[in-house]
Amino acid sequence: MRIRAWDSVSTGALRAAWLLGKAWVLAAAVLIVAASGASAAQPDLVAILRAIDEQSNFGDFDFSAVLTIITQDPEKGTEKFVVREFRRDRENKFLLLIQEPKARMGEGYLMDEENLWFYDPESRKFSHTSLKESFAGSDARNEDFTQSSLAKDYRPTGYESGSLGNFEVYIIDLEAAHNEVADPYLRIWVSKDENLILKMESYSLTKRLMRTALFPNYVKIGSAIIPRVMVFVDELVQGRRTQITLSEISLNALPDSVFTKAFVERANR
Amino acid sequence: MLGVIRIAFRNTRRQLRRAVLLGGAIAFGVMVITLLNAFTSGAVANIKNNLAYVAGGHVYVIGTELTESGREVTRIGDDQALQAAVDEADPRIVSVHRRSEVYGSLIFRSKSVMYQIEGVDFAREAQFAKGLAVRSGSVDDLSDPRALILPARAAERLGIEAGETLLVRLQTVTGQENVGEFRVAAIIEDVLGFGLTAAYANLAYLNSLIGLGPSEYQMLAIFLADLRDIDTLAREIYQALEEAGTPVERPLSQSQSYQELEAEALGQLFGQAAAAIAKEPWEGTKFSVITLNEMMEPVVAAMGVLDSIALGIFLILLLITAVGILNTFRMVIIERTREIGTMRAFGMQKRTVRSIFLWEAAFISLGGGAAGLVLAGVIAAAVSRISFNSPGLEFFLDAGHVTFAITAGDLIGNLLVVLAISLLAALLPANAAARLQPAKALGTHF
Repeated sequence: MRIRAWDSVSTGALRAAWLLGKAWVLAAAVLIVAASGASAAQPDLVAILRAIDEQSNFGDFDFSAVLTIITQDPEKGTEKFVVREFRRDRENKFLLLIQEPKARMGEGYLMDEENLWFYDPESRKFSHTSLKESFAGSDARNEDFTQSSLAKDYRPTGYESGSLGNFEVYIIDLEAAHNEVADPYLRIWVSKDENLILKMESYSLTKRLMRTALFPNYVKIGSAIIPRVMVFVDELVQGRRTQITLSEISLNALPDSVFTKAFVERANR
Repeated sequence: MLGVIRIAFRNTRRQLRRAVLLGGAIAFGVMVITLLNAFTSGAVANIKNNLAYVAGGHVYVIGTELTESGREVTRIGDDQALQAAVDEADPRIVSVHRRSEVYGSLIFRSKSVMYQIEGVDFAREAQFAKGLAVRSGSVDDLSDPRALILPARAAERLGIEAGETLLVRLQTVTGQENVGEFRVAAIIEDVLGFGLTAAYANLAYLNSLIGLGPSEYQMLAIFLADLRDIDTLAREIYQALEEAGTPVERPLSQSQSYQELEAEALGQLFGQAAAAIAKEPWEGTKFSVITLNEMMEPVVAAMGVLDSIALGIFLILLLITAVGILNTFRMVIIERTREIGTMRAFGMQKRTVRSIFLWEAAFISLGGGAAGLVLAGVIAAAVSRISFNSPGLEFFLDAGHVTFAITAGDLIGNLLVVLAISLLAALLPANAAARLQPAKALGTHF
């Protein structure tokens, strides 16, 4: 009787223990599957930044294009600039030559490795300027015309998945890795399939939204993919925005002389 | 002698029309040179005052430090050596100002304007704000860290009033974008009308926006009682810093690449220094001592060119006048040959005859010179009453008015030059008159 009772107790306990164990295994399995699923969905944010940088770089090719820059300002009205851009990423050189309006024709921005020079055809003088400065009074900065260096200059601080229009995107928060980049904080919307930045918000050190950039149209040229249309919205001055459209895009080799002060002085003379 | 002067004066009056014509030419020359000299001197003085106002002092000490990446930023972190070098109790010093500066975009709704903002320690410089000409609002309580004193021109451009809030987009010393929110505590009159009157903010708050610590600053500006002490004081500060073993930039005037350094220093002074890579690294803060006189050198040189042009015009006019005097006196001698013969026959010495003609020349030149000075004075007084509102000119003006300034030494110098040239021109005919033989002269008929 005692034995039976014990038997009965022990059998019940064993059953209970078995059931409990099964539940734990199931729970553990679910957790493992969930965890592994989550791990599989976790994007490598640094790799995404690197991919963005790589596909904006023309590598061994030279790049040239015509930029049409239209700035809408509530005070000044609409201003149109036509600029010819030449880039040689492998040597970190670029040249922006203003062709329109006539009053500004001949002004140029020449990047020669570490130095960015502004040329004023009236005084015929070069002066030192910075990539962080606004380009010709627009909402674009000089650095917007150079290759991207997000992986070097920023570290991701968070992300979420979302959508922008029809695109599935990662919304990634970035913090400047050092204090010498213009934007201390960025939030970028990157398409999941092609690592294209579709939208970018720039925040000040005090974390106030300063500028929103939209990149609705990309063009593939060689191994690079670059935005064909860029829209910069000034979030501080109401109603101010700049649209940049690229045309006459080419990867033809450029003579070395293009990236020299002498060329800038001769151009549009 | 008195008799000679009397005769010369009488002769001049006798031929008044001729004397007036010659004197008129001299008067015109003197007037031109006096006005131009006075204008350039006045303009230099005005530029000096305006520049001192804009830059906030007469002697400036700017600090430069290196970032971790070796880039130069304008910052005075540790100012112990500087405090020791500048004795604020020095009777030559009127006031000392610690400033941080930034050139930022002031934004109000859909309007924006670029302006210089200076960070002021209002608690330490209690008298500073009280000296400003307030148009609206108040400078009595500036304890709000976000308080901003805004020049009237900026306020008008933005359409903002005292009490309202605006945004300022600016860059930190390392070039990062930042945005600060300010409340307009007061709107002040523009002392300089073309946007060079700065806006003033609390030093600590501005520092927090441009990436400096609360007690740091970028420039120490010193106002002096006597501008003649500028160079001496700057030299003393430089020497004291050097003796303390602090890194200090050579004074501009001693530098080989003067223009390059000057441009850099001006950039620093107006908060526009690009964060360039330092050529030779150093520890701590490196100081640069700059003076108003050094900044004024190009202006003074430009005005010197204007003065030289004026002197050239003056000398040409005098040359023409001298030829006129020469010819006139030769005619006078022909006309007065018999008179000279009579005087010589009555025993007048050759020397006396020469003196009469030279005195006549002196009367004409001094009379013309005096008339030129009076004319210049009248024109200067009239022009200085006109108020000019042209933005391009205001740096040369004193509150919108042209200022004429000339020293007594310059006036006397100009008159002496006129006198010397006139006497030189008259000397040849005067000698000819003195050499006339009485008998021959008396026998001459015209």
